[in-house]
Amino acid sequence: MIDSKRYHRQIILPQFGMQAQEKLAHSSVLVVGAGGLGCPALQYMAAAGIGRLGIVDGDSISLSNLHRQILFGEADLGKSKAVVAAERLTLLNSAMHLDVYHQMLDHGACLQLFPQYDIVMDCTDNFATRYMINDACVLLQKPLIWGAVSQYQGQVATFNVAADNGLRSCNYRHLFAQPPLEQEVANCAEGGVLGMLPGVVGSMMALELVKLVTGVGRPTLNAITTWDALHNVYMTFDIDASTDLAACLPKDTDAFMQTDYQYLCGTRQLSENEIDIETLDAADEFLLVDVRGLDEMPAIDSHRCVRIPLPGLHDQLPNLKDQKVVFICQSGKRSLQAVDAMKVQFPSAVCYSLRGGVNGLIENNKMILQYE
Amino acid sequence: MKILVFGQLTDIIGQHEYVMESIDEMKVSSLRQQLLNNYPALLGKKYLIAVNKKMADDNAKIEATDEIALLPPFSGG
Repeated sequence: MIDSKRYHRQIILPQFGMQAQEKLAHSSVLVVGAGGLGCPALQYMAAAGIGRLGIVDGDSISLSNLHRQILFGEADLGKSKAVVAAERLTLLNSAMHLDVYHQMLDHGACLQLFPQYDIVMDCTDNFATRYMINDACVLLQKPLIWGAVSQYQGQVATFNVAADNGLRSCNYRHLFAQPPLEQEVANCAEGGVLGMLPGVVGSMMALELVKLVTGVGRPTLNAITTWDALHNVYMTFDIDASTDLAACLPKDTDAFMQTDYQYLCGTRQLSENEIDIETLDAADEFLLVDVRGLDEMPAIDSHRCVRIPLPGLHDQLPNLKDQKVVFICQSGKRSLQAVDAMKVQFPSAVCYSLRGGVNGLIENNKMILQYE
Repeated sequence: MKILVFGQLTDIIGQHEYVMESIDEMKVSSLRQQLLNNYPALLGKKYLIAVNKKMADDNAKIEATDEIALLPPFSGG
């Protein structure tokens, strides 16, 4: 039952009415990131009467967050952002259903959580997670409300919405088909930001949500809106959604699970179990063990390389333990499992996983690869 | 033609809006090259070019009266 007194001032709006209010009450949104964008977006959506909100954030609150992450206060330092955000939102609107996920979003969480909500909202702060969310939404056919800031400017769009003809509106890869590498964007990892900037952009994202859910007005489809706070310039740019992205989007959930977004964005640090292509290329003392299935292409054409598919690796570990080994797979994930298997059984064995795997070798034009 | 500059590209170009003298019609790819000649720090930087508020690919044509926007990707949140 809608509390019509509570939402009176939006229900009486032209075009809005009880009908729109009911649509909000029946909608569910998963918000990834309860930071500068997530706080205002969550706050306005909770106030507007959204039925169910999910909050994903694995971070805890720090002092330098407080100037822009307005759901939090000094007493919250060190606490979970997702948990505290949910506490504040419950005070604001107790009728709303809230799901709290105090965790970083990973591939598995995308596939598990996104289907449980009508719409996903990207309030994160890095390209790797943003591309992962975009691709998961395309794969799972979920509308995605997207916003990002840089210094005094913001960008907002609504992606992947089905039209009457069943076709989906554009997604982020229609703008930038491939993730930018760190050096391709001006350095903003430690960029400054004025609190009001994500405040406005997060509010714009909540507004996109209301428009998308209620059908009142027009969300930013097949377009991106930019806002320059310093010069008061607000502009919308049209995007051509007809470009075929089949080559750059993961084609199924397996391909999605195998996609290493940190690697593609060049932002992943090597773990102690990893070696990069440059180091491997300069050293010749390693035995390369390709742990992919025998039918996976391209093969690595090197006298230093043997193929031992991961399921049969365990039995071969005693034969490998006294050599310096680099495990290789397609993207660098199964090879990490191979290192783990070796280290469990033979803690002193010298072995690494090749970061980026065969995909990285292809990109870097390293080693001879055979396609049949 | 009028050039609008967004994001941290303004740090490279030094202004958020300026007028570039252009003789006649050219392709987006040649504009990109000309911008690189004028601002070598653009080398290797990723950005989109919009022509009259529509994202344009490298083959799109630009006329002297068009309004151009240079839009880099944003990731902050």
